[in-house]
This record gives sequence, C-alpha cells and structure tokens, in this order.
Amino acid sequence: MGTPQMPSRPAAAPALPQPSAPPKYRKPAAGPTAESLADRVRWQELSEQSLSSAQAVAEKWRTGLAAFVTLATGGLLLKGPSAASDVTTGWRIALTILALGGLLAAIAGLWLALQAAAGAPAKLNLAEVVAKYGGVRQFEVACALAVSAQLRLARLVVAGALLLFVAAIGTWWWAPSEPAQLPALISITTSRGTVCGTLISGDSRAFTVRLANASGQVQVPLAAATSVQIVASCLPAAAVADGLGGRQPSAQREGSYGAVRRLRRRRTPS
Amino acid sequence: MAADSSSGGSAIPGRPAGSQVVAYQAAAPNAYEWTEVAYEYLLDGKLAASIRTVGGISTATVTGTCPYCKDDVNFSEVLDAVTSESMGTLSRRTAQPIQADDGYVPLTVSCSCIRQHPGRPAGVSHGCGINFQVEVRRDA
Repeated sequence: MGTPQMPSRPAAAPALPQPSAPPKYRKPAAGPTAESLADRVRWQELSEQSLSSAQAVAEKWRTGLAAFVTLATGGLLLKGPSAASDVTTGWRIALTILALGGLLAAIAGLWLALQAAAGAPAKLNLAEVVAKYGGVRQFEVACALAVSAQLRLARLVVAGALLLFVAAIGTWWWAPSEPAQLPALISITTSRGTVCGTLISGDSRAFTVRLANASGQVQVPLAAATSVQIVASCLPAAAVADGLGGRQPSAQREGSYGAVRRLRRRRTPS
Repeated sequence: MAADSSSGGSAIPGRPAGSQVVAYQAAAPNAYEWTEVAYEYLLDGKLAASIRTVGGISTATVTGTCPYCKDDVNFSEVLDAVTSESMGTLSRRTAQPIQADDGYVPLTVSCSCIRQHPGRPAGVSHGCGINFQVEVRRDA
C-alpha cells in the first residue's frame, strides 16, 4: 500500500494587472501659442462679464415676455368683458379657471423675470463667498448661473400663462351662449285693433299693457279683447292684425288706446 | 523656437537660479522648454495643478515653482462662464473650454510672480514673461 499522494494543489492563477488610474498630469505636445494666450484673455473677459451679460439678457426677456402677456390679455378682451356673462355656467367656470390661471402664471413669470433682470440687494460676506464659491469671480459666475436658472423658469411659467390665455380665448370663442331670455309680450286683439306690449297688470276689468315700441301704458277693457296671446315679438303679430305692414312703428298700428291715440291725433291734420 | 534661458545670468545653463535676479523673458516667452520644465516640476511636486469645482463653478489653479524665475506661479482661472449667444438664449448655457476626450484639461499658464524682473514692460505689474502649457485631469 503505497503512500497516498495528496492531490496536487492547483497553481495560483496569476493576478491580473489592475488597471492603473491615468496619471494626474500629461505632458503637452506643444507649448502655448499666441492664439491660446489670446483665447485665455478672451475667456477671462467672457467669464467676468457673465453676470452683467446674463442680467442684460434677462432684461430683454422680461420686456419680451411682458409684451407677450399684453398681447394675450388683449386677445381676451376682444369680445369685451361683458361677453363672459353670456356663456353658460359650465363654460364660464372653465373660462374663469383658464383666465385666472393664466393671469397668476403671468404674474409669477414676470416676477421671476424681473428678479432675474434686476436682482435683489443682499448682504454678503467675503469669507463666506470665498468659502462657498472659491472666490469672488466664481461667485459672479454662480450669480449669473442663478440668473439664467431664474430666467429659464420665468420663460417656462410665462409660456404656461400664454397657453392658458390662448385656451381661455379659444374657450370664449367657442363657448355656447346662454339662450336669450325672451320678453314676455302680450298681444291683445280687439275689434279696433291690436295692442302689443308688456303686460303690467290684469284684473277682472282690464289689462294694463306697456306698449312695446312706444312710451306709455294703455288699458284694454277685458270685454273688448277678442283674443289674448303671448308673443315673442310685437311686430309681425301687429302687422298681420291690422294689415298696415311692417314698416311703420308698431305703436302706430296698435289700435286706438292710450299712446296710439295720441300718435294718431298728432298725425291727423287739423 | 529655442528659449533664451541664459538671460538674467543664470548659474545653470538654460536654467536661471532662483536666488539670482532673472531678467524678464521677452525673447521666447512661449518656448516649449518652459512647458517641459513645468511638466518635470509637476512630476517632482515642485508645481501643482488642480481643478476644483465648488458651487458648480470649476476653477483651475496652478501653484508652485516657476519653470523660469523659480518664483511662485500663482495662477488661477475660472473655467465656467455664462454666455448670451443666440443659441443660448432659449436655455441656460454654461460655456466651458474645450476639454480633451480623455479628461485632461489644457491650461495655458503664465507666471504671475510679483518679484521684480529687469526688462519687464511698462504697464505689466507681475510675472517673469513666460507662458507654459499644463494638462491636468479634471477629476484629479
């Protein structure tokens, strides 16, 4: 019985070379040139002008955004402020939400744009600025970045406001109007003609009617009425009733009561 | 273009001694020699370059021994700027200098020492006149 042989231990796998981090510095292939030096000077100027440049851009954008808002709100007024009351309640609620939402968004957006353009006075501490940003120049660039961020937000908010305004205008244009409340007119036909107007009162003796197309009231005895009708308009009924046609004022065609009598006396030569 | 490194009466040929008064380098301010020496100094630790990003703003800093006058270079450059170019008006654009794809940022560095150097032009208040190139990793 031979000596048991230990299984040979597998040889350790050779360690893979760890990828080394790239060196911090690399030898440039060439030295600086006049162009690179000029670029550096221009870049410094560009960096130093970041804040003033961003604020100048924000100022122009603020003016432009305000013009857009003015244009949109002017479109809302095309139909007149009283026209909004003509639409039905549901559409009026939608119109109110859109218009008020647009107005609030426009105010917020213009506020942001104004803040970006004008900034706000604030107390600063040099040590804090240096600690937080690394230097004053870096702080100015950071301020310019903040201005850009505010301006970008202002543009988005005002764009939303414009969309709301446009939606409000479209809603206003296409919203169905509330059905008009037709006046309740009464047409009383008698043997002497027709009286048409608004019924003021009526009792067992007479109707009191305010003439539709003339001032004054007339009383029509109940016994004189051959027919009483509720009509939407006085003109056709009166025209048919007395056969005078539709070109003359209805008050001249409506029988011989009250104002009608006065009108006829005025027209008859003495 | 060869550098006129003998100006100023340096003790070592081609290298002015730090203790000696070094003349302002006007003959070859951009010579590649300064870039080579600066690279050696970076490897030796005599010169340090870094890019620090604080508050979203990157700043490159190069400090240490000047390859020419041996004074402190003390160079700093903000790498970010806010521009208002026509394409940038619709959104925020943070312009940054062109960066190599491999992560190295080339910097054109000028010595900003405040020691007097004979021959310094009127109106120039600092520096010994040389410029050199440094390439440093952004995440280093």
